[in-house]
Amino acid sequence: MKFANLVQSMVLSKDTDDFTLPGQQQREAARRFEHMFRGQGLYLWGSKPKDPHRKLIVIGVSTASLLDMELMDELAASSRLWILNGVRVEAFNVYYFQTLREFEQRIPGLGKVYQTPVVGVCEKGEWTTRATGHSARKFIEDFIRDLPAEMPRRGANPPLGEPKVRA
Amino acid sequence: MATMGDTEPSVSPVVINIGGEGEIVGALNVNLPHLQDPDWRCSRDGSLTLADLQAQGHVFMFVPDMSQLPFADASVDIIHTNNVCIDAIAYLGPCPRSSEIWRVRKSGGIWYRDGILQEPP
Repeated sequence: MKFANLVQSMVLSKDTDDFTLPGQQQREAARRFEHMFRGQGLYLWGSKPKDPHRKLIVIGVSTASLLDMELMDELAASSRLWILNGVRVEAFNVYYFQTLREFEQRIPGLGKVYQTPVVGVCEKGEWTTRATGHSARKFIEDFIRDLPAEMPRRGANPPLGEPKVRA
Repeated sequence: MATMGDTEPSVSPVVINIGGEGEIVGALNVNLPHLQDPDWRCSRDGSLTLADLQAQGHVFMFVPDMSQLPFADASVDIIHTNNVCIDAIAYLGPCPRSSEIWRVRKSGGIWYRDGILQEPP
């Protein structure tokens, strides 16, 4: 199942329609979110890493946002490549957040958050990138786009440079 | 008294976009005052300020609390909410309540929840 399937568009127009449905559906989406990580290559924030990695990307999304859930699907679809590149991606759901301090606990120095997603990158224990809203979305999209298509094989020849001239 | 040939005055439907950032043309965007912060930017492109959106013709109404809508009972024809938490409390404060949407909606009015989505450019 895709993350985007957690968000359902709804049109409520009849006087008999149950207007509490969208809220109920969002609460259900938030509950299901945490059970969707198995086999996706993604981890819930705070889970203990078992495999070594050289870069940690922490992403905070809202399960009430279709755009955020689509971004999660894009991330999951490229997981093989970033895992091969030594990247670990952990995600958390901001749906239950009631204070900005909760963001700060997960991505120190993030600052004001007006919109989701939020992103932090930690390399060798240092937080090197922090972004929210559109810039965070663009960061993730660029990250996925710039992943090398395949990992270089061990012992493979280096890329060809200028042809060497034999003496 | 209307006679044959007279045209009924056209009344535009009242359309509001709760949590809106101008993604629905013609809707009154009901949002929190933080859109007026100097470092706030529209989530669609990351660069447009509130002034930019207003210059494009988008109209905003700011409310201190999204859980209470400043509209009379049964006064709104169409309500949009996109990527907005409903019936919850979020980090930006109380979210829109379905009971309020029900209250302000005219009989037969429509609530589009994520019906027209914000597409990044």
